[in-house]
Amino acid sequence: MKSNNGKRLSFLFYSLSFLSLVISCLPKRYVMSVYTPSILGYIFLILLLVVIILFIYLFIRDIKINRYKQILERIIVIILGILIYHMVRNYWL
Amino acid sequence: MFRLLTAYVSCEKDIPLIEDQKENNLPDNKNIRVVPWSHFEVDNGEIAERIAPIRNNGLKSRDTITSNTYGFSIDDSKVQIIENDGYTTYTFFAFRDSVLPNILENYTYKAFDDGSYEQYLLGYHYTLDTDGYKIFDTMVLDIQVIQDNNLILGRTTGCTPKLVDVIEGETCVYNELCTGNSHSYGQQCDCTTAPSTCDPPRTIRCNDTFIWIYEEDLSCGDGAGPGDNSTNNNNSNNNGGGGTGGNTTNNNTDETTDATPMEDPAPEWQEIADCLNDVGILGDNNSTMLDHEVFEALGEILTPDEWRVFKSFLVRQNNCSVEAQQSVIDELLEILEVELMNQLEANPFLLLEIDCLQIENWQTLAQHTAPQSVLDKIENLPSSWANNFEIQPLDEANGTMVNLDYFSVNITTLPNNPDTNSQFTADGLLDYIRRNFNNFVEDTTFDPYCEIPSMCQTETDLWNSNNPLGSIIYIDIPIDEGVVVCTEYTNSYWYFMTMNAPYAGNHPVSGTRQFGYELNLDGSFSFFVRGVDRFDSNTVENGSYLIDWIFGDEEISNAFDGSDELWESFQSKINQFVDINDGDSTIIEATKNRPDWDKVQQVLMGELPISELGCND
Repeated sequence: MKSNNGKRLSFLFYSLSFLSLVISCLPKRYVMSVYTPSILGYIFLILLLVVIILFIYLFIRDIKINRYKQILERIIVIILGILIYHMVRNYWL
Repeated sequence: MFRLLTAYVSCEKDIPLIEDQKENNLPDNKNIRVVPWSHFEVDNGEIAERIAPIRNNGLKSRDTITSNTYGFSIDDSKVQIIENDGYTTYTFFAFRDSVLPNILENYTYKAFDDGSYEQYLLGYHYTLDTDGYKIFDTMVLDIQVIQDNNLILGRTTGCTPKLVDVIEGETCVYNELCTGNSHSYGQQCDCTTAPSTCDPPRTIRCNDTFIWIYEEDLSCGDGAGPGDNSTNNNNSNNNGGGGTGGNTTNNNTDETTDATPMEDPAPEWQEIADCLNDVGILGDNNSTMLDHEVFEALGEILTPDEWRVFKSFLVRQNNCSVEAQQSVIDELLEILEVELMNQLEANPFLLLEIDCLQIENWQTLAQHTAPQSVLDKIENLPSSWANNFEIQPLDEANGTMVNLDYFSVNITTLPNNPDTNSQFTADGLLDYIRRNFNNFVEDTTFDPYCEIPSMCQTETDLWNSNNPLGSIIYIDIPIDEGVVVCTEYTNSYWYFMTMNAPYAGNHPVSGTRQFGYELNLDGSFSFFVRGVDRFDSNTVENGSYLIDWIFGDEEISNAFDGSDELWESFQSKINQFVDINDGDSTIIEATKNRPDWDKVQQVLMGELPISELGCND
């Protein structure tokens, strides 16, 4: 049961991370109004917060049960995501 | 005793000039310019040509021209130009392999308007004060007439000019382009006024100085040398050697020549900078360890004697060794740090970037409150279950920083009214902009408040009337709907204050914004929008920061980026409108200051003088 929960949370983490990455690659005008974030901007901020919380939760959980491979996978995914984000923003947008 | 030309003194002025004002409209009787050789060459081709064949005959690495006869060289990296009625002098710093003790030598080329010329080698005597600054002796001036064919073709004369007077006055040096050794000629720069590293282009620096006046001894003849076949009423150049200065008719009447010392263009720190930057440190030959701007900043702090100590340690004693370089770098950076700390202690607002020209206008906006008639109107307006109409005062907002902005368009020719095809007055144009406001902004609409149907007609009529005081405007910014109220109205400006309102909620920012025009000294008009506001919510401000940090293009996150774009669109729309309707306008670069509210609150609210922010009262 715990393992299933872990897989679901892990799946959720990857899904939300992907979604955050997609939104973060959009031009600023889609996420920012004149003064405040747009609805999509607020969604992005919430997604980002959830992804960070999920990452920390899963990290602590996997440390406890010595699942280092999963931790490494998530770190690699995050690093890749950051790299893609930078490439898109620096060379595409 | 006095100190002369040590550094530009406190009377300096940085006066921005427009192109056609340069040179001839300097605010002084002495028009002194210091220009690079490249510029001198362009403007004075004939003289440069005379000197050019013997360029690069000089000493070592300096750009020099050597006179074999006189044994001196000229540093032609900078040329001092003094214009007078009838003649212009071009003065170069002169130096020799063996330094003459306590004498500063200048080579002066005096060109008369009729094409004739004279040359002098001037020697200013000086002593050094305790800090190593030069103190010139005004009783003495060595004057030698140049007759060196290898330098340029000079004249022969039996007369030796004599010092006749020394006058004290203010001379101004016009900088056509950015000064400072880290900026090459022709380069634009962002330097600001002293104590910064350089002067921006088109500025004037004035300083108290002495002007030595010398003239030829007329009792010894007319000064014409052998081979002279000219009519020479002055001490003009003529020679028998076939120089270009010969065979002229000189009707100059001015017998005297003005001179003021042209010091070594290479600053005291140049040798140290060359050592640190050219040799490199830690084996890296290409690295620049300290930027020239750092040296220029240090030049304001260290005295010549202190530089000489560093120079002696680094170059003479340690031959620019890596260890000595590191030691000097550490020491210099520590001096800078201590100086910064001292200055911050004396002025805690030193690092705040505040536009002093606008601060009083921003103060007026920050202290503005709605008149009683408007407050009474708001009090009696209907409300919804969630919101009342309520003005959002600046000092009750929660944003960390305060936005102080000013966006303007300079209009030199007012446009025609597209409806009547007659030229607008300034009042008329502002009124037109107000009534057609949505044509002057992008992605946002400003309309009379109609969210409560019973108010719609009243507000529409009021806004379209000749006096819209108290008019309530709904701003349809996607997601950011907000409401503002007109709290002051004159023919030349109006104020909007942000407010909380039914069916719109809080305006994202709290504060006051002014729309209007100002008449400039040159007769043109500046149509502007000026604002003082803060985020109503600190959480929203941080969210905007985060979004801008992630999605923005600029290195520094700016939560007011969207607002800037809105008012920049206001500028460009006015500019387009004016130009399309036979007017003439230019967009002026916006002024945007965003200091911490806590740091400037007391000044903005009038509790402390603006001098607290480093601005003059």
